[in-house]
Amino acid sequence: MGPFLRFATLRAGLALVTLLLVSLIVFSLMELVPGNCAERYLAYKNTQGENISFEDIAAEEARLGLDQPFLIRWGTWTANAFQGDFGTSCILRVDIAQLLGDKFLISALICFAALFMAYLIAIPVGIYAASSRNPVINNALRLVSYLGLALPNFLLALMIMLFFTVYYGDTMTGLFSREFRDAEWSWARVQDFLGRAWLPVFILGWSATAFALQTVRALMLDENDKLYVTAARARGLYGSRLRWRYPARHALGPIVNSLGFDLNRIFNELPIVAVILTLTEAGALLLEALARSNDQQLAGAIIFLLTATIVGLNFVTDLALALLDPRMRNSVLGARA
Amino acid sequence: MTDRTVTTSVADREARRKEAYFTASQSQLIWARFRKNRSAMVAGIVLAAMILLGLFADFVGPYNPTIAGRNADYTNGAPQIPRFCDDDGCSLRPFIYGTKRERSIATNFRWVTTQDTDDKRYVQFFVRGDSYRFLGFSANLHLFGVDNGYIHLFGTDDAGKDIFSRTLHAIRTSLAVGTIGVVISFVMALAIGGVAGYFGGRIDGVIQMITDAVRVVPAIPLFMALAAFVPDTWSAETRFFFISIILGLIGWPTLARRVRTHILVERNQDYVLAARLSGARPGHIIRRHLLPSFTSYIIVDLVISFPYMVLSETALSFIGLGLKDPVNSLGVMLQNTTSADVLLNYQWYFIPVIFFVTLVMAFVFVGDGLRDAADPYASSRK
Amino acid sequence: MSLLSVQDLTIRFRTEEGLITAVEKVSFDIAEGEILGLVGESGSGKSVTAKSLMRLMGDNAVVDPASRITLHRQGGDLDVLGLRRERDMRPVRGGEISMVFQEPMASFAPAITVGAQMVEQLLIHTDLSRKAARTLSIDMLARVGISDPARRFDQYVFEFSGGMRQRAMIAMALSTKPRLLIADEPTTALDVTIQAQVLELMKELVAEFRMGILFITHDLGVIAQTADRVAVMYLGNLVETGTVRDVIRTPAHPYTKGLLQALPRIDDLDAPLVPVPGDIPGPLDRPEGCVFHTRCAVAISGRCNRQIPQDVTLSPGHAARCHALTKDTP
Repeated sequence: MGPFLRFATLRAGLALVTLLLVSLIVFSLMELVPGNCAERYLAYKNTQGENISFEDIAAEEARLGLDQPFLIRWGTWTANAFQGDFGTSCILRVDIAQLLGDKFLISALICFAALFMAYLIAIPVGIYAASSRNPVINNALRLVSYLGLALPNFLLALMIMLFFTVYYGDTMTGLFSREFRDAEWSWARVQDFLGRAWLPVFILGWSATAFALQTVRALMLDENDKLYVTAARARGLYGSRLRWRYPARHALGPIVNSLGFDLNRIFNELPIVAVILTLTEAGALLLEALARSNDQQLAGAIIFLLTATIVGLNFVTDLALALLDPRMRNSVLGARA
Repeated sequence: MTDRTVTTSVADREARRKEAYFTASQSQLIWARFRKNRSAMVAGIVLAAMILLGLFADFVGPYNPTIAGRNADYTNGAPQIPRFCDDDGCSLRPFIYGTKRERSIATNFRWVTTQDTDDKRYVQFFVRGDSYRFLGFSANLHLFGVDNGYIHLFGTDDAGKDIFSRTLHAIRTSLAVGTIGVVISFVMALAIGGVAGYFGGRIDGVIQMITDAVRVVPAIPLFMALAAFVPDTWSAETRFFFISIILGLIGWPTLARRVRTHILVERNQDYVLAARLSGARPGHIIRRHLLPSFTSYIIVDLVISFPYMVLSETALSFIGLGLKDPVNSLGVMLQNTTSADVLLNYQWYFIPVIFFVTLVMAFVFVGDGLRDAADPYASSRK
Repeated sequence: MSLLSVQDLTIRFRTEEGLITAVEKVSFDIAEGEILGLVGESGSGKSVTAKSLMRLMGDNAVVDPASRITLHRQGGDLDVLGLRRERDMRPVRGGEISMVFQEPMASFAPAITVGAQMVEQLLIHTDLSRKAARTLSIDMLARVGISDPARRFDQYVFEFSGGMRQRAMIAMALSTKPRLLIADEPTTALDVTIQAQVLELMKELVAEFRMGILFITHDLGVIAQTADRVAVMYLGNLVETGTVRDVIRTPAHPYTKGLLQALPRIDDLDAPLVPVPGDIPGPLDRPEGCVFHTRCAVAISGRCNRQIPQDVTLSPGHAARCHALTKDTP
């Protein structure tokens, strides 16, 4: 097991370096924004009618530690971030971790559910379609894939909203119905959530499914042409047994590889879908914070969290790939003579 | 030697066709293969048509798409489709009905727009209308208009702006943003990927880490964070360029990685070695051997990344973080569509969506067709 | 006793440019315990012929209705081309007929152990239990000369060396005790020394199992060493058939003669290399009449480019298709 542990440690190290680079990027961007935290807070206070002077700003800066050099501030922020402490938001003066906690988990849950759903559909359908000679199926599949690309999630969400409003007069907005919006977690709340969350999961999963379908089909077509598939047919294998044991099994690798990238794409689509379905009205979604407030501490924390999730997923899939593909395992564990 | 006065036999024609095939340049070959792909050709024609519509938006669209060209008497107006015949008979020239706005006790004092079937307004072609600038010239010729009043093929929005004209301008804006973004990301990808691939080793390793780090950050949330901080004082044009540049800056990692991989692989190929052994200098090798080997892939990548740019810009403008009025793009046009009022009553606001979907699909089909045509090893797999 | 009969096999392929003839009116027989060599350049149609015996041609293949492939069995003859469902093709795929490929690495699935693939085949074609199948497979691995077979059984193909892979593939193909083994260029990718070992192995196994082997290659030297009979193919046509002795000592067809002349000679280092003149015509430029006439030194103008030659028997078992051999016909 030793070499595998070495492999895992190496991958973990790389992930860490990536996260550090990301934190550098994010932190630098936060710094580039005109006006630092102290100024923002006091400008906000200004709009409330309080009179702020330059000394107040300077004092506030000293208090927040904003007068220290860049590297130290970055180091502190990153170190804290890794522990889950993102400081307090500039304007609301609330602990960010607390502010985000629930919302981040729900957002991540929805996104992962969409990803899961996408592959649940795409893998069997893609595998079947790749082996099918039926031109109707092939064209239908191509059309679906293209539509998935051309009809992006937010448009789909719009269409669905249009449909529901015109025919049912009901707008399926929000993740929770009124009673449960700010309630404590209970079984009833979960049920309410599930009843309404299927829509964003479906919409988010829509284009992910279209992409995944195309990928699976292309991979299968590539594998189908390979000699080992012909050799397997020459041994008497046919039908779904042939498909699943041979080309599908080997096409799995690249699919696992692409999971992190897919999650990235879903994270990209989440804010738009959230806006359309006014999921934000419930305060339940992560990115409402991003769009509505001008708070760079909050913004930085959110971006970092999202990226960390993707890096984490990449790490997990890297390990899974090493386990799945004996060739990778071979180079990891050392050749067995 | 061909003697033109002698009738060419079939064999001669065959021989010449083959000769043309063997001596054709790369782009000619690609074009020949592309032509055979029917869906790609159709998509190509559609794409070309939409680009032309966008370029000539000022001419084809009858009115100025901004507030300046609005029809205050016909806000939230339904589309007016020209007709040839009605109860009074038919005419060669298409016409529409004029509309009257009135309110009275009968309508509970709400403004109601009704069609006046006696007021026929004939559609005319090549009319003079709102002025615009084209290639530095001032012009006011429009493709069509009505002899009296306004014609709104796609209806109007809540300020009375003609949706048809706005759609055409939106196409142009989206294409422009996409182009700038694609060009920027292309240049960056070439430079960064090229350096990484050419030098290899440590430099490549470091660049890879940076590329991966940039790639892993989800673009839209990052963009949202940045756009939220853009001062409102910037003009619409500045916003436009800012958005395009940011889109380009975020989009380079994928292409850069492809360039880098390709150069790394091709650098060690036998044909490069053969060229070097024949005495070719590095510049020559790069120009005549390396570059053509992946120009086709690059072009395909460019065409395919276009729709992503357009989609990103649309998405961002839609949530209000991208372009704003008076700069007009599809996302901007869709901003108002989420209210129940619009969904229930003014469905024509969604007509631009059809154009948008068509545009993206056209790009995708053309890109796919190009990819199939450019790959010399691709067999026709349906 | 004849194992397999092929009569008038004609296969065309549907392509963008039209119907391309890959195999035309090929007929041959393979007897039990006989090694038949199928020789030809690339493009001669030998692989297509071989694949057709197991119904492995691609989707765009069009088989002429006059073609017949008959597998002779104790329980009754099997019309191979008449099989419709994939399930019915099982006997000719890995059951009574097995195939060994040119690239052993590529013919094993990379992510499944060698043993698992062998057992799978046995489970399909026999009613052995999994345990019995495993034992049999390990035995076969030992039989083909792989050391420590029990350990190798659980390994992946990339852990084997070149020659070992080819042996493993032979072991897998023979584990179901097929009556006919089709070897599609099995030694082309191997070093000469390993090639010799593999050929020896095949000859031993033929003697032991009384199988027939259809040995496809472009290498006449290998055929001379290994095969009993040889059939020479050119552009989809069978131009000469006979015992190895007959064909190599007294070749009748101009193409066969050309092939033999083109072989470099180790015993005479000064002998010039005489290639067969011209190039093989493209698939769309199939010559009329005798397909070889465009490159033939003795082509009879007016005859060879118009009429398709018929079989001319030179001696029992030795036939060739050439107009020049029928000197007395007008």
